[in-house]
Amino acid sequence: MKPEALAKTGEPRPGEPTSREEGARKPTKRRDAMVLSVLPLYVFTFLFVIGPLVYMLVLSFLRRAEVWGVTLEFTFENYANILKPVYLKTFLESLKLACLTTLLVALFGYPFGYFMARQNAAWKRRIMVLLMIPFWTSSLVRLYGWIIIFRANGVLDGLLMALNITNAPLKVLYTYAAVVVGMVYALVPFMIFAVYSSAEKLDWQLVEAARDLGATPFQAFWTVSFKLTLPGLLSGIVLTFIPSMGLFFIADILGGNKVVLVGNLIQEQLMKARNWPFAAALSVVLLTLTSIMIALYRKISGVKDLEGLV
Amino acid sequence: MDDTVILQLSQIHKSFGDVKVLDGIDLSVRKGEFITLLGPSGCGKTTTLRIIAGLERPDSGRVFIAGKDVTNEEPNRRNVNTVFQNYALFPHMTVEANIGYSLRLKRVDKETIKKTVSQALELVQLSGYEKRMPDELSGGQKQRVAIARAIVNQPAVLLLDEPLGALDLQLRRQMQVELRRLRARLGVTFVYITHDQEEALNMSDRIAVMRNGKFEQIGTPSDVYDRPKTSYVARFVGSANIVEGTVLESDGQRIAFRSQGAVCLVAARGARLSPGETVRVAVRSEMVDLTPYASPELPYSGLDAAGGNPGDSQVGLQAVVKEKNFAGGVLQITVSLADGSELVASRHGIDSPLVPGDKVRVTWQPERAVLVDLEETP
Amino acid sequence: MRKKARFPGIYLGIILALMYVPILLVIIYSFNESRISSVWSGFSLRWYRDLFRDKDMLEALINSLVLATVSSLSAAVIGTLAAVGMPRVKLRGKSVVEYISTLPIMIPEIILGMVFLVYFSLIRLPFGMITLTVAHTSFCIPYIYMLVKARLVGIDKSYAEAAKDLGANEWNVFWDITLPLILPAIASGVLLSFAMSLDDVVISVFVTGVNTNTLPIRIYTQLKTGVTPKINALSTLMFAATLLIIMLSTWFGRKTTLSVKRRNT
Repeated sequence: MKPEALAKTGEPRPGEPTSREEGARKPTKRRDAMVLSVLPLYVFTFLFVIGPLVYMLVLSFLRRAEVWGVTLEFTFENYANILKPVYLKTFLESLKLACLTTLLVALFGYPFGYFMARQNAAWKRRIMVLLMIPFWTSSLVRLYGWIIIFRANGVLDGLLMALNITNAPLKVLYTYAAVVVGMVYALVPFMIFAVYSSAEKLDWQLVEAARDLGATPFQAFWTVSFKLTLPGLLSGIVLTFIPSMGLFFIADILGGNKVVLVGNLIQEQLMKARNWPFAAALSVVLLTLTSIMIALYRKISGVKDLEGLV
Repeated sequence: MDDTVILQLSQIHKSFGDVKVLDGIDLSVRKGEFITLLGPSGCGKTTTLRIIAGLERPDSGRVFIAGKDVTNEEPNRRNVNTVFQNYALFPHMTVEANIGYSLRLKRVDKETIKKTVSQALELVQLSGYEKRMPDELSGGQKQRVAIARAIVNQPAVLLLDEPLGALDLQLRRQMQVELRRLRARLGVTFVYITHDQEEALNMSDRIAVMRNGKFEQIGTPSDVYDRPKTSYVARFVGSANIVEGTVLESDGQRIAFRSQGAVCLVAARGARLSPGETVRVAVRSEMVDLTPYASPELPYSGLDAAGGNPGDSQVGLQAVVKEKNFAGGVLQITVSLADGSELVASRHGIDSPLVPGDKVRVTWQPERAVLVDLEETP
Repeated sequence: MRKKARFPGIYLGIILALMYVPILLVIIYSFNESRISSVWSGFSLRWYRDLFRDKDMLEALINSLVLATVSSLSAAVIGTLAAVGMPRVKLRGKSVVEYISTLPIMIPEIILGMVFLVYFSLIRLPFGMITLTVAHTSFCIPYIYMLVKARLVGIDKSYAEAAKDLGANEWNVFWDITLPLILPAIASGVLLSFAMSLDDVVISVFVTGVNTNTLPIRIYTQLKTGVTPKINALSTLMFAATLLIIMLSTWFGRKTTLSVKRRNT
């Protein structure tokens, strides 16, 4: 059998005609039964995914009512508001933090995923388990650990002063640095998984072949391994960059009120200022940014699913 | 063997998208017969089998099993069972559950299932393997379980899709013998698929050679091997050499034809050809004689030794030995002809006095050569 | 060669150690007598005692468990049915719906939380366990759908064909062949969604009602306001639970890898 023919014959469905003429001749009940199986997903998706997203889009063009809720009045005001210096600054700050976070995550995570893929099977499994434990541990528990470390006269200060490196508490908690550490810490596993899953598929003989052909270790890495693990790295970048714009609770807990992300802004507009249309407009912009990144990723890497996502 | 037709295919056509896979297949299989569909991958043999099993619907044409039109019946309503190429043993079920599956679907009581399964296992010489998982079986054992699973239902026709394809050579040979024995014991009709001509020749009552969705020739192993109808069958089944030429004359018994400046002979076997027609002749390598050039020449003096053409031509093609290759117990000598094409002659034994570069004459006994592609020649 | 191979090992070790430092500190300080976490004043179980007496905390825990169970199980039903059914139905825009259904894990959590908040108030769904369940189910479905779909693709088509050949109808095929083979994928999907639901703060903060607390929400508010060492104790217990789940799943995983290994011999 030809492979392409095999691929097409892959799913014979008795009860379901294989050719169109037969479809006309023999309409079947089974296909209707099959529709029932996807019905729950369809209903759920229309009601609770498409519905909310469409409403968000609509809402972002409505005017906020004086006291409560919205008025049915079309306006671009909400989008214009984003361009106000105070909000624009937040957006840019948030972008800057996201870039910094992503950079650090890539710097720490890429070698980890890469080295991990080069271990033998037993070690790979051990390291995977060791990674899964903190990854599956509640992010709040882990954040709390950082509070213990960073707070004034906390573990870090105690350590530094005991070693006579500093002689007064640094008070790292509620600073930009604390937020960055918290973000990197929370997001680095995503990068590791993404890089690992693409480095795992790498045929190491290719690297050996490159070395055999006269490449230095670095040249071999750069021309072979790096090129071939690029989809994983890119996927990791998308997987860290997107959440790092919205992880408001890390900024909240480790940064106090000093670091304001788009996420914090949306939350604030929603919960405190009760300006829903503005929050919706912010979300639309953030979502657009996200979509562009994912589309870009797909275009560059040619991969449909984000590597290491599931 | 019973003469009743158990399986009949008539004018089966099937395409996948733009690819025409089956192009008008006709086939009748008698009860108890072992028929093999032989052909290279992509020739449509698996699709034919799947259409018989009901896993595929033909675009047009009919399938009859035991006289009943089952073209639109579901696979579970046809009295045929399949031994799949990769065995397709359910990985989550024990050997016993695998074999008993069809009986369970029929709601046969547990005791009977148990008994039937153990009989089936005995038949394939795997008694005591009831509780094993497919994972824990070797390739040959999986093969046997797959066969047991397919015969437990007592199908009218057993379909086997390259069942020995995944086994190593030695095991293949052993399983060929076992399959033949099994068939003799069960008396079930076998429709067998393979791309291995040796396997086909060894096991079948009849062979249907397939090419591009059509049957090229259907016949007994000796029909197909000794009297191929087309150059394709001759090449595929017997790895024969094909020589092309122009008819010089015929005396009703033999036909003389000119090829590459030499004259060759072939038994006519009833074919009537007039001078000037193009012919194609198949000669299997073991039938090819190579004579060193130094030996006395054989001037051609016409079919009728008494008269005819004055002998300006030689009988036999002139060739140069190109290489020698020992494979599968025979020595293959490749020679190249005047026009650059190659011929293979095979000999028993490990070496021959001929060395590359030697000039040789290629001849054969006229009755060992077969005219092929007769319809195609104008 | 051996010398070169040392650096990767050291690097992996250091990064892994750093990942555990915050968690270990939380555990250590949960046994600290003192209320001020920077001072070690002796071993004590008093915060655990306090924790178990905290009715609100207990209620939040129960809420979280109920929420995670209900959402992951409903997602399992919806996701599995759809993953099995999708390849067999011919509906227009099928791939679009499929794509959109996975959006909840693609878009930033904060946006998901925000759209749910405004949408639920639009359709007047009462905020509380119901809204939480809907929101959590929405991000559990894609995990299960994708895992089951991947598993289905990996299942050799000839199993279903063999079953039909042996007399099975569509229903038999699903029940006898497909379901048993995708069960591990469903199980790991449920486990994963359960953990995600149990850990979710961002979306929950938006869609919860005034009087409904989940464990993460409670911890979050406490971390923002006044931290009591009870949180240490709670975190330690949560960590222990995580450890247990992972041990279970690797144990299952080992069983399957063992059977794979045996096939090779």
